[in-house]
Amino acid sequence: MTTARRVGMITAAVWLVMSPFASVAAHAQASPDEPAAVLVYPYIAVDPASHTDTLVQLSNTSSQPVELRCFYEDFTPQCTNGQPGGSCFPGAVTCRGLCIPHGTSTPLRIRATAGQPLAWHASAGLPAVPLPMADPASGRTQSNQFSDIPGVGSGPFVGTLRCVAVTDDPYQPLSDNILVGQATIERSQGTPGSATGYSDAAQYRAIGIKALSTGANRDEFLTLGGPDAEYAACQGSNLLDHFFDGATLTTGGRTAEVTTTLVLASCSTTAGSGMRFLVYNEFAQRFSGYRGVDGQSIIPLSMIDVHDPRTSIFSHAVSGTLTGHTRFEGGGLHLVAIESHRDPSTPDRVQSDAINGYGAGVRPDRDVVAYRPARCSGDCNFDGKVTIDELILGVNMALGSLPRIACPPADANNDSAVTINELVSAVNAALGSCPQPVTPTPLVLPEPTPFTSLPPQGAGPDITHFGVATADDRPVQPDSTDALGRPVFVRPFGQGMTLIIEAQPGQSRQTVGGMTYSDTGNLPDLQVLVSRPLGDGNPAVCEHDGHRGGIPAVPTLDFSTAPETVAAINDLGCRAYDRAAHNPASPCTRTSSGDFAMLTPLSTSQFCIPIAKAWAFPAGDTVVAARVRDVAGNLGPVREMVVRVNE
Amino acid sequence: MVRRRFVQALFATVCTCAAPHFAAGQVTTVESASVIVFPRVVVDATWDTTIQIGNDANRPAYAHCYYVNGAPTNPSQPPGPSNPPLWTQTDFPITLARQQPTHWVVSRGRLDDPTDPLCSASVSDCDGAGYDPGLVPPLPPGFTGELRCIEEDASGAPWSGNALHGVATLTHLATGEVVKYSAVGLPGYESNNADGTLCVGGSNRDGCAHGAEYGGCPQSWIISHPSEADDRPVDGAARSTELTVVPCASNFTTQVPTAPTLQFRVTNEFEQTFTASTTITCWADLRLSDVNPIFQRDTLGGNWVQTRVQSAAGSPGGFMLVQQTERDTAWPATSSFTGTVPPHEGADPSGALVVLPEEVLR
Repeated sequence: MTTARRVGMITAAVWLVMSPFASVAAHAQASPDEPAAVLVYPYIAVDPASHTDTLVQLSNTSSQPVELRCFYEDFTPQCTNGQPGGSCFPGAVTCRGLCIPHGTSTPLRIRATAGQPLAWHASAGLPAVPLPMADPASGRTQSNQFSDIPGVGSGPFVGTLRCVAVTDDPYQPLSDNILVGQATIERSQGTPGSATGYSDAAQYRAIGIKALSTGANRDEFLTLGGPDAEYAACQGSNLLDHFFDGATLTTGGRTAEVTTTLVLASCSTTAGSGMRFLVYNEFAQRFSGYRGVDGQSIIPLSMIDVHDPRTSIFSHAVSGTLTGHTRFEGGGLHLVAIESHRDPSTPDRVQSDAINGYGAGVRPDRDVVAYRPARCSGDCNFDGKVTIDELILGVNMALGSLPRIACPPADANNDSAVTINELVSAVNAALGSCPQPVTPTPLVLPEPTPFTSLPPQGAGPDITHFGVATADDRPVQPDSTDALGRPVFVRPFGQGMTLIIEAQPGQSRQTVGGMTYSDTGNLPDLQVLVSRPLGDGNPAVCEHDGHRGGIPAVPTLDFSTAPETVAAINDLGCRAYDRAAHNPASPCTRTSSGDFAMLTPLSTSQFCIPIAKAWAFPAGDTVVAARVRDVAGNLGPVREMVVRVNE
Repeated sequence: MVRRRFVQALFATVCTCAAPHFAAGQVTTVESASVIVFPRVVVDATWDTTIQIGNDANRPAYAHCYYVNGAPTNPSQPPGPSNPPLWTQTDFPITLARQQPTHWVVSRGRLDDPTDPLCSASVSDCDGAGYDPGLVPPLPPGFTGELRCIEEDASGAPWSGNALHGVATLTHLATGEVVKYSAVGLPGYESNNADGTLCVGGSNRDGCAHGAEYGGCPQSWIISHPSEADDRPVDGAARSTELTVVPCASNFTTQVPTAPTLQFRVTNEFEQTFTASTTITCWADLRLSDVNPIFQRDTLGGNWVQTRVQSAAGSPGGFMLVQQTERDTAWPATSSFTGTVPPHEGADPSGALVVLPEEVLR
């Protein structure tokens, strides 16, 4: 193989390898923390049987009025297979047939005045808006006129609500991040006069998706994340701190059994998502599973993985501890959890509150939200059809008795006037139907291709990556190379970083050894030397269990068996994570999507050595040399790098 | 040898282009962070609090946690200049294995006892099951304040590891009602020099030669809430809102409390705007109707309100905030509570300092 071809292959391979760590991380993440241009309420519920309704709150935080296009997505499962009256409502399922999601959409139009808070119950909507008309004489120049905020009816209903800020041109999403919202699931139990009646409320924050400064195009689809993003990306992984189902929590002499209902809504409106979940108990033991989500899923935590909650890994009796922490990997989801506490002495009484999940990283793939049907002349409420009322609005606009804002789609060419041609077009749409949009295919970035042509360079393991990561486990790039071709990492301080060494079997084909520290004074499998002392250079080995003291230098970087050298190697290896039980399949470095992965797919082992203040690099250049041994005792070639501290 | 170095250099060059940029940010409730703050922790005759903290990294996480009691010196009197907060501090270290969650009930703390029984189908009294994070001291009744946990390296110096996240659950001891909120996180930056002065937001200044070491507090918090009323004609439910406020700045060495002045800009549903202000010291639990009568429904004339809360000009640093809403219904004649950390906007330009006690820095 020629050198040029080899360089080309390596370059391509490295780019592919590094793609999970690439700059898509710079996109903001969907979050309820800040105002945004798009709001998602992942859980709207109405159920007369359980006296459940959802209070929706939405506020315009800007000093200007704003127009919103919203839609309820109805995922209410319908009972099929000849079971009239059977309920599929979450928590009250009596259906003996199949529960199949409804899958319809109801549009809303909201015009919010500057700084205006609005609220409505999902069942009833907001038939009487606070400011139905502007009144310039009294100083009210703005109004909610032409808003149409219907309810979803008396239910049962479960679904989502999504709102998009638009300009006065309804085909043009607004790039201002100005919306905040929250939803409260309100529930009451008992009958009037009953002493056992009670009310309950669980509140979560609407998830905001920020418009990016690049702005949005005028099509029917909002692109979230990915290379052609118009909006912030969805979270790379969703995480949740939770009690395991059935856990008994005792506070102040009061005992409650805790259960959690998980609400997962797809980030996209055009495609479902799959998720792998990793569950950790308080022993840091890991369990895992997989589940698909299409649209919306509302699941008791202990029924994610099995049908019998008693055997679920989310059951406290299985997990062995009260609380857990679960990573839902795969992304493309919004997560809300509703935690319910039930006093065993009053089992009919359930008290709850909700909490938003949190995230790690951003999703590298794009998600797509179809926020309205394809444009259709005269379709004022964007429901995909033109009614007689909408035609009348268009005629009044053509006559000049209503402003353009009454029905912007009647003005198809956006020239602030409704013409005969546009009215004819609207009538034709009323007689026929609006065109159907073409759903874009979600982009899936290619999987990194394993690179296999780099030959082993010695009998023992080859080091496939030798570098530095930040304190929060994100790999950093070398700033340059020195005259000897060694990568140079420039750091602001001598501490607050992690040395990362990855390796693969060498010519011996033997498994890479995992021992980083030998308390018997022998050489471990990972051997790292530094040319200058770290910290105070204290020669004591692994002092205070590796939590204090410095590391002595071996200026020659000669991997001899001299006692001082072996001691220096063990002293640094003692600080590595998992020195006693190295797990090569559990790397410490993160990708931009928040998952943990090795930096090259070639690697079979990764070692991470944190650099704490007690063993910080000194100012200036320090050369770090490393080699790795396999389980048969074969040593691999030495790799070197330079850590330059500018402190 | 030459070829190997050539490959190393190439790898380094390519990585330069492809490496991630970890953007600076503000406080967060949806990402792991290096400092997490639970602004509202209450142990009294009405409430108890359960703390959940998790390590989101594939490595051990070390942290030092500080309870600060913001209860007034004389608990039988309302807080004020003549009845300042206790500002007593209780601190303890915790250690979490990779990806390990832990929890404790604040009134009980958590013993470091490896013999705790496991949960099982027949054992539900298993509060201590799991790796104990260390000895977490119990707090006596009468504590109303904050819990702040700061991630450290193995040698006890501040560490921008962004591995911590948490949730607090307050349980009403009489009704069993629960209030949950996510801890407020301050993301750590690479500019962290690991000394005992944490530079929270802001730019280069005295004690912060390298600028912000942690994400700063916001310029304003945006609270969507109902107006205060004893009886609401719309749905028969009376609602009231409490804001728990804790300054971003904290000096654990001098224990001199910070006293920011808060400004409230209140907008109702009818394009009308009102303002109010109040000063807090150390920690405050503000019932909006006690802050100013403008929050009353009779004054506002409507049911729903958007309030922006921010520090007054010249007031020290920013602050963190938890919103708790109580909803009383005539029927059923009960209360229900919800809690949240509201959205926020902008960055407090002045920044804040958190000064750690010398004895904690080993």
